[in-house]
Amino acid sequence: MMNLFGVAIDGLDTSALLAATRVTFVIVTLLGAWLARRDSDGRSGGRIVFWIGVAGHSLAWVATMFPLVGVYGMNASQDRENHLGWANVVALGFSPLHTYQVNHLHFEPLWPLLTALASGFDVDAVPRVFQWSPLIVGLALLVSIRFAWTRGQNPSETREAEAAFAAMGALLLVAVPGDFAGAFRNPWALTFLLKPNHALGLVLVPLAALTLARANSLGTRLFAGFVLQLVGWAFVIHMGLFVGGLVVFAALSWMTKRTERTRDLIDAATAVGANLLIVSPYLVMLVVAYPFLEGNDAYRISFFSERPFEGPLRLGPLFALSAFGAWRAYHGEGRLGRILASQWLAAHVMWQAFPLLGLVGHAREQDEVFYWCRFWTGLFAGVGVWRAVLMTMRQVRGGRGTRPGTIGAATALSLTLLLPSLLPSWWDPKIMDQYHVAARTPLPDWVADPARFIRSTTSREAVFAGDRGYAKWIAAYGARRVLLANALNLPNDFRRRIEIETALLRDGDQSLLQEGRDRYGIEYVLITSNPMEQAPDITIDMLKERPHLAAVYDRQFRLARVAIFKVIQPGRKP
Amino acid sequence: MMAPVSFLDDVRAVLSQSELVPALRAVLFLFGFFGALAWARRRFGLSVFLLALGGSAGLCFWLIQIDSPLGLGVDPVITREWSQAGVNSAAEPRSMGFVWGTTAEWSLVAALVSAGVPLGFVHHVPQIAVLGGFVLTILVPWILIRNRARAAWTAALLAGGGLWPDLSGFGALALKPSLLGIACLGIGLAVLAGRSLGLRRALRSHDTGIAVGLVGLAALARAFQSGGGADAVAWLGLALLTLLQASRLRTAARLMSGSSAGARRLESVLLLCVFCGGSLFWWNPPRSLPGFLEARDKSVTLGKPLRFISENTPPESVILASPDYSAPIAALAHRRVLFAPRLEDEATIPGPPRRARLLAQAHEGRPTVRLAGLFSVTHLLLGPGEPTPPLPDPATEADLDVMSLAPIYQDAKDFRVFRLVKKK
Repeated sequence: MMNLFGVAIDGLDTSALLAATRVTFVIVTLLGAWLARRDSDGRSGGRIVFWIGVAGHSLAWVATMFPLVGVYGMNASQDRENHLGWANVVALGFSPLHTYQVNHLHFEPLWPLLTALASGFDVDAVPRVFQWSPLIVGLALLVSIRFAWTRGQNPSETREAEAAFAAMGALLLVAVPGDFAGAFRNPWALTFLLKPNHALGLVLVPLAALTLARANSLGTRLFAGFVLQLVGWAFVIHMGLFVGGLVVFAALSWMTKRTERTRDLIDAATAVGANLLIVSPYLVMLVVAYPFLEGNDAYRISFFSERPFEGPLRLGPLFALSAFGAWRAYHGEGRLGRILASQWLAAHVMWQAFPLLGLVGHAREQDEVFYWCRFWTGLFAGVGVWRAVLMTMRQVRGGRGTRPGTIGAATALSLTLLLPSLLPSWWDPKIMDQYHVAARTPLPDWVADPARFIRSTTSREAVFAGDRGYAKWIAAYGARRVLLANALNLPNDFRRRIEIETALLRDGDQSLLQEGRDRYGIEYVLITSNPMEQAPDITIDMLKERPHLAAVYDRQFRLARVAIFKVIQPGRKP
Repeated sequence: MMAPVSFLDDVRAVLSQSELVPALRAVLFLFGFFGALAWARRRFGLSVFLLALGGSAGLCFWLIQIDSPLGLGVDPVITREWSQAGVNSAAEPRSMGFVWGTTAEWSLVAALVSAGVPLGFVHHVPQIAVLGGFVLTILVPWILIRNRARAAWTAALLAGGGLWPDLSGFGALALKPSLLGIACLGIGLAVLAGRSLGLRRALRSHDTGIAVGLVGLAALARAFQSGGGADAVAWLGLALLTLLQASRLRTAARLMSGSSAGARRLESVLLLCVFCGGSLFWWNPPRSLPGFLEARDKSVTLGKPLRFISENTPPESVILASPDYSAPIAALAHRRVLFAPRLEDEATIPGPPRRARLLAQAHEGRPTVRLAGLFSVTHLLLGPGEPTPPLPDPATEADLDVMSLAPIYQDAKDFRVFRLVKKK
């Protein structure tokens, strides 16, 4: 067996690999702390912390991805397979505005487009891009936070180190070992590894905050709105949450009677307004196609659930330190600090609203808000630890005056104290990550073999109908579009699609078959021996009798029989 | 005698409902909240008491659900320990291993049973070790630290699970109760060393190095091996660090707040976060403790034949059964078996081919006197799916070298027990 890096992994001692990455990180961090202790101006210490963040994320990424035989999330995550399907169809040259359901409008077009671009529009390279993107996006987050923090805060000797701790915290302090047993599992794995497209939103958030912090004219405010709408295109929920944080920012400014409160309000309102204006077509599409204003029993949670504790308290003392960090940032020198600290507060306020929302069946996207909460808690926990240690050391070493080496000592001590909580020092995907475990097994033969056939023998324009449950695999591993898929929302014209699908499966009207060909480009029907949800009575042998279908693939596997039929155009011979 | 057991079963059935877990956490939060409140009002003893009470309630909620021996049939080492303990409790001769022909393996539970402690009590050693470990973490600061406020602060932090979130040794203690003995030994040595003025001075002068060393040790322990004993080592290292440096936190709180009332408020917030983010609050054994589910949801079907064997076979009996039943027979029916629970352990057992031949003969209904006598086998247990041996072939019916199988037990789940009888 080969992994996606092209290395044979038969006989790989995964436990040894995982232990090696953890031990390496611990040694690197201790070494970094040793080197940082001599830092006198905060710069080299900041750089060391930043590079420890880089090393930590990279090592945890290697530990998770190297032993996999396929894309992370394979065999277990419908969401990931959907994304793979979306990226495949864009890499084939189709519109990024559509999902792999032919002509179906898309909610998150940015990521498939970026993935397709990164793959050079080569569908075979898409899985490798998926494997590398968690690393790149994680590192981009480190750079983004550090950049925003150092540019947005007033110059000071602590700025570099503080920025580095914020960046490292946002990436590596977002989870605790026991998260895997919780309702939302490990935020680091589920955000950066499983959904790097969502993490891209996190990368853009500090930049949006920075542009807003610097806004002082109409042009710069509109520019802040422009950057904010980029967050929306990356992941619209992050945009919504960030806007919620800006509301808190403006409200706090008025409540605390700050002199710049009017400016804060105008800046935030202009940026949000500009953002909404630019992103409005997308929002309209979302409102029309995604019924998020309707309550649903699936989004009902008990008022007496663990939700209020899970968000803030699961990180224990790190939460208290993050509160301290946010407090200090709010009362610090820069406007950026106030914007970011308001985000911390807003995230926790919004999280505490879930038990109430759950009463009326609106507790949607809990996982995303949970990860958002953890992101801000982790970011400010890094800052809070460093600030608390520095403050205490300065007090102990004689008042508020600085003494050479104090910043370096604080950096070294903070790194050491944080070490047992940093994810790469305890990350064990074999136990803590179900997606890692699932992706260590090759695709089942009844998915892999037909997918190979589809890729190698059908045209890239071919559209498949038939088994809607199997459709996601046709897109993810066969790289072809489908008429309908259970894994996606129904398109608006689903009734017509169902009529055409019925005609294909039940020897239906010739005009419908023609419409299927002309409007949707249906060329094939794929079904398996497992009964289809929409037509449980239809079997492979029955389809073999249909005059408009010609079997081009029929294989019996241990778990199922899979058959693919070519749709014969009216008046043509098979 | 039956009433308490039945009551306990009812309690277990109630507590094992997953819907109760949020209620448990709400109760723990209240303990944490009132403990923190007591601290803010200078009621240090009350604070520690409330946190300790909450912690004990949190532990007992899970520990009481453990019914059969924890880890039996899940962890190979623990399975062998429980099997040996079961055999030590009733089987003869006492000195032999639970697999016939092997030497006895030492373990804490087996040694306790050999020393005469009732097996029913020994089955609860994991729970006792966990609770003992918890009590110890609270008591040690009072023993080692003279200043009462400092001792209370350290005990309160440790009762909550320590300063580092989600790191605990409770799971490791449950699976390896002997760790508690090692911890006690370490604490005893620490108490003795604490009397040395020179050592105390050395600790004070190298406190930063010691702190870094302990954090490094904890991080490396967890890095080398995830879970199990490594977690216990990491937990002990960081608990020791908390013990040594907890007062620094109070100093930091005082420096940061500027007043003693403000410092206490900061400390109480920290206590609440420690308690509600700690390992006790979020401990979830069904998901994180190997063997917990198996120990909670005991197999009723296998219980009946095992009870029959325990009550109706002589202590020197050796039970012939497939390796799948070896551990339950030894641990719960207290009789020796012919096969190790895992194929990997077969290498340590003398004469595996002959043992396998005897089992095959028994399945065919014609175990030979020679092989059965060689291993002192007296009974055969067959489980669901294993065919009943055919009736004796008339050609061999008179063969005195072949033993006959006398059925002595059969139940609705198709468990069957036979006695191997010599022909006369």
